[in-house]
Amino acid sequence: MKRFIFLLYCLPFFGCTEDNSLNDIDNFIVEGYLTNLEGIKQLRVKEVFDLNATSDPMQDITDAQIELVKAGEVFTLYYDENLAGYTNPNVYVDSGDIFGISVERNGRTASATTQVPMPTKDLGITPETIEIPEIKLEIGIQETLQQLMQNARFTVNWSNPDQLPHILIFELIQGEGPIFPENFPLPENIESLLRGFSLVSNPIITDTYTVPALSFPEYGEYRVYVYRVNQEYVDLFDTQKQDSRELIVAPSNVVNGLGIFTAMSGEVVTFRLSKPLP
Amino acid sequence: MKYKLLFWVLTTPLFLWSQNQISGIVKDDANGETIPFATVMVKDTDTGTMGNSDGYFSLFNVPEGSTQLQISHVGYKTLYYTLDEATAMPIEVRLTALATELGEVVLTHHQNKILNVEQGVSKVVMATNQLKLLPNVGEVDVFRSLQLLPGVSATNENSSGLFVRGGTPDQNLVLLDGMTVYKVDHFFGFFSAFNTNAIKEIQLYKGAFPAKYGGRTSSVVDLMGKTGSFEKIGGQFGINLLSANGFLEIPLHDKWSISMAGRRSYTDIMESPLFNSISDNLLDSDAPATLTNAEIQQVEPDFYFYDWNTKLSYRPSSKDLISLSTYSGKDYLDESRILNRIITPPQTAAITIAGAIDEFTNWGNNGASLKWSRQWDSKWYTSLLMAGSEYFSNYDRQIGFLVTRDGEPEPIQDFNTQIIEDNKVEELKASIDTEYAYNGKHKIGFGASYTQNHIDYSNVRDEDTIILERSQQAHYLAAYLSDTWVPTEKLNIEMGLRASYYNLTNDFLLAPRFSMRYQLSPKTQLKAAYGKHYQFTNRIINDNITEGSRDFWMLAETDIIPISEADLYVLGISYETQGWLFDIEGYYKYLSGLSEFSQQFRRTNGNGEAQLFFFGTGITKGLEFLIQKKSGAYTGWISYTLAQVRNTFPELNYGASFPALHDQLHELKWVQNYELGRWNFSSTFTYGSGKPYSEPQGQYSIDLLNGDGLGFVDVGSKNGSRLPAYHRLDVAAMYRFPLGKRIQSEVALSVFNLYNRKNVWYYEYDFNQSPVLVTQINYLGTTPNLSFNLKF
Repeated sequence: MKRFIFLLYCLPFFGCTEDNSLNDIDNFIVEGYLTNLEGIKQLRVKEVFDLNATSDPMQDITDAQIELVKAGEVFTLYYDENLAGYTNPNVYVDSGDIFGISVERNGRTASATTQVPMPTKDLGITPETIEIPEIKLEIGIQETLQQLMQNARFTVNWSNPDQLPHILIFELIQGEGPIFPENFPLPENIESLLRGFSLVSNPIITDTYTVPALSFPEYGEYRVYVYRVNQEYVDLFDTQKQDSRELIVAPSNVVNGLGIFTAMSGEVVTFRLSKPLP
Repeated sequence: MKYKLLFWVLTTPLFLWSQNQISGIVKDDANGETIPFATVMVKDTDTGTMGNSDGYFSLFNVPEGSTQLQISHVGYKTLYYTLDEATAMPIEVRLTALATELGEVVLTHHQNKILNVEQGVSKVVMATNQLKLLPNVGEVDVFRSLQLLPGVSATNENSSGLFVRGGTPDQNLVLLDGMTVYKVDHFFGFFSAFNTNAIKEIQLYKGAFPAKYGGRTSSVVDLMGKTGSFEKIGGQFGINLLSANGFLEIPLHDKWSISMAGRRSYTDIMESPLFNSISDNLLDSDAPATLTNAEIQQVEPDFYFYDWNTKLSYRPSSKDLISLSTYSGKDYLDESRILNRIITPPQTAAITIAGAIDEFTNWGNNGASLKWSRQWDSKWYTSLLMAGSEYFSNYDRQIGFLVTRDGEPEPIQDFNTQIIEDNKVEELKASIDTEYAYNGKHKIGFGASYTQNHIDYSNVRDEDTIILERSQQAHYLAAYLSDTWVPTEKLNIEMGLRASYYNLTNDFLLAPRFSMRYQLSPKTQLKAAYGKHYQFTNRIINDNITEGSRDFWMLAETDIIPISEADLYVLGISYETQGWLFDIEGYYKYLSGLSEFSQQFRRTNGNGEAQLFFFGTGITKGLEFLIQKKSGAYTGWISYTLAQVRNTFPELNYGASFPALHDQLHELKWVQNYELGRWNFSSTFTYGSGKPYSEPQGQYSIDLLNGDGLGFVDVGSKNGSRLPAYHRLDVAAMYRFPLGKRIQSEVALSVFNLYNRKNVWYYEYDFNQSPVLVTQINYLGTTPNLSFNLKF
C-alpha cells in the first residue's frame, strides 16, 4: 500500500498540460509583389483586424524591419508614405532572380522566398483600336449595344505552350471621357458585365483573353500587362472562400506569418478605344 | 540411442510437473455456451491459469489430494469446484450468469459484475450479459460501454469509435469472430454497429497487445460472437424507441447449432421522439453557401440502419469446433430536399428559383469467417481461420437549380453541381494460431497470417473534376512467436515477437511485445509493458468539421502515405482486496507516420495528389486511475484519466506542435449500479475537460495589384483554443418480471443527459455576416428512452 501511495505522489511529475504554445496575437500579413517591369510593385505589412469588425480598418504597419535578399545581397527597405508601402529604389527584378524577404516586428520574424518567372513571350492584341459610336438614348440603341457586345472585342494573345498561369492587368493611360453618359439606363447584360469586370483577371492558363470593348469605362488609351505568375499567387484564388465547414489556414508562402510574397514577370501592350471623328 | 537417453533425462522433470496437471472446459450453465478466457485458480494460492478462446483450460502444479478450484469470469458467479483423485479429466465446469434469477441480490466476493481489468496489463474484459444494466440512449451498446473505461474517451457523442490512450478509432483493430471491421458506427456514430445480443465476449487491449495481433497502433477490440447453444432453444426479443432486435439460438441434432441476431431501426417507417431528437442534433440541413437566399423546404431525413449476425456451429467431437460466422450492417440516409422561392424585386418581373438537393449517404460492413479450432489434447490447441470483410461508404450530393425571370424564355442562371465520394475497403485473411501449454511455467503461442487488402477511393466533383482517385492492393504476411512464462508464482511474463512483410513499401518489420506482472504482496501487483506496433491501413482525416465522417481509408504506399508506427511503454500498479480494486497505469506512446488530408490547405510548391497530404508525428502520455467496487448489491467504478496528445506536422501550424483534436487533459467517469430486489438502478457521470479546436482569431485582406482585396480569416493556431468542459449524467432503472414459466421480461427507462447540460460539439462561423456570426452547436440534451426485452 505504501508503494501505491508513493506512486500517487509521483503524479505531478508526469507533466500533462493544456499549454498551446503558439501565440497568434502578434501575427501580421505580408503583401509583397515584385515584377520585372516595376521592381517592388507593392510591399505592405498589415495587421490582422478584429473578427467582429464590419470592415477592414486598413491598418498598415509602418515600423517593420524588412530586408530583401537577392543573390547574397541584402537590401533594407523603408516605409514610403506616398507609396503607402515599403520600397528601395536600388532593387532590380529580373527573370530568374530568387528573392528572400525577412519581416520583423515586435520580436516576431516572418520570412518567404520567391523566384521571378520567365517573362511572357509573343504578346499581341487584336485589334489595336476599336471605335465606339457615341452612346445616347435613341430608337435602336438596344440593337446597337447588342451588336457592339458581340463584335467589338479585344483579343489579347501570347505564347503559353506549357499552360502556365498568367494574369492580365488593364490600366487606363489617358482617358477621353466616359463611354456611357451619366444616368444612362444600361441594359441588364451590359450592366452586369461592367459590374463583374475586373481590371485584374483571375489566373488563367490559356494563351488568349477576350474582353468586350464596352467593359471599359472610358474612351482613351489603355495598356494591358500580361504577367506570368507563380503558384503561390494562384493559391490565393483557390482558397479565397472560407466557411466553418472547412476552417483552415489559407495557403501562404510566408513562414511564421500570413499573406503572400510573390514575383511575376510580364510584358505590356497598348490599345485604344476611340470616339468617332466629328 | 544416446540422444534418446539425453532427451529422457532432460524431459523427465517436465513430465513430473505434468503429473499434477488438470484440464477442462468452462461453459454457461444456462445454455452450454462455452465461456472464453475464464480464470481458473487453485483456491487460496497463486497457482492458476486462464482458459482459451473456446473455453478450454490446462492447469499445472495442482496439489495432490482433495483440492478446491476457484473458477471465475466477469458477469458470472464465481464457482468453487472440488477435485479429488476420482475426478475424471477433462472436467466440465458450468458458471451461472449474475442476476439470472428474479429478485436475486448478489453478495458474494471474488467476482466482477461488468468489468474485469485483472487478467493482464492494459487489458479489460467486459461482460456482455450485464451491459444492459448501464444507462444507454436507445441501444445497449458495446462500444459506448467500453468508453466508460479509464484511458478510453467518453465525450464523443458523434462517434462510437474508441479514442484509446490518445489514439484515434482507425488505430484500433476491431475483430468480430476474426473478421476485421473498419467502421463501427451506426447512426453517424451515435451507436456502434454491433448487436450486443450476438456478442459473447469483449476483450479490449489498450496497447502492448499480444504478438498474435498486429496491423494497428493503438488498441485491439476482440469481439467473440455467441456460438449458439447445443442443448436447448433460446432467444431474446427487444424493442426501444429507435429499433427492434431479436436473437435466436437453435440446436440442430447433437452436433449442430445455429444462432441469429438481427436489429433494425424503424425510423424510416415510424418516427419516434427519440429519433427526431437525435437526428435534429446530428444532421446538418443548412443550405449550401451559394444558396443562402433560397428557401429550403425542410424535409425530415429518411434514415434507417440494420445489422444481422448469424453463426452456424458444428461440433464433430468434444475436441473440435467448426463455426461459420457472418455479419452484415448498413446505414442509409436520404437528406434530399427541394428548393423553391419566388422573389419579386421592385419595378421588375418576378424571379423564380426552383431546384433540388439530392443527398444520399450510406455506409456499412459485410463479412464472413470460417474457423476450425481443435483442442488436440490437454496441451495443444490450434485454430484455423479464413475471413473476409468489406467496408463501404458512398456519398452523393447533387445540387441543381434554375433561376428564371417571368416573361423571359432563357433562364438567368442554370446551376448544377455534384459531389461523389466513394470508399471501399476489402480484406481477405487466412491465419493459423497454435497454443502449447508446455508446462506450468511456459505457455507458448505461435502462428502466421496472410492478409490481402484492396481499397478504392474516389472523390469527384461535377463528373469530371477528380479531386483524388486511388485504387490500391496490398499483401501483408505476418508470423509470431510468444511465450507466457511464469518463473515464480509471483512473476508472470508475456513476451512475443511479430514479424511482418508488407509489399507496397517492401518493408520487413519486427515488432517486439513484452508485458509482466509481479506480485509485490498478496494484494499488490506491479505491471509493466512495452509494445512496438505498425499500421498499414490508414484512415485519412478529411478536415471537414461538420459534415460527419468524410474520412476515408487508404493503404500505406511508398511516396504517398507512410506506414504508421507506435512505441508504447506502460507502467502500473494495482491493489486488490476481495471487494475492491485500485489500479493505476501510466503510459507513454510515440507515434510516427501520422497522416492528414486537406483539400484546401495545399502546399504552394506541391504537385498532384501529394500536395493534399500532410505527415507528422505524435506523442501521447497519461495516467489512468481506476477504483472499482467489484461485487455486492452496489457495484461500480470511478475512472480518471490525466492525458496529453500532441502532434507535430512540419508543414502545419508553422511546424510547432499542436494538441490533437481528441486531446483532453482530464476525464472522469463514475459508474454506479445498485440491485434492489427486482429493480436495478444505474448511473454514469462523465466529465471531460475542454477539447481543442481551431478558432478564428481575426480577419485580413490581401490586396491585388489593382487594389481589390481578397478577404480571409486568420484561423490562428491549429487547435489552439478549447471548448468548454463536457459533463453529463445518465441514469437508468430496470425492472424484471416473469411472463409465464420460461420467459423473463425487463422494462427499462433510461435518461441520457439528465440535467440537460449544453455540451458544445463545435462552433459554426458565418463569415457572410458582418460582424461574423458565431453559433454554438451543442450535443444532445436530455433524452429519455424506454425499452422492453423478453428472454426465454
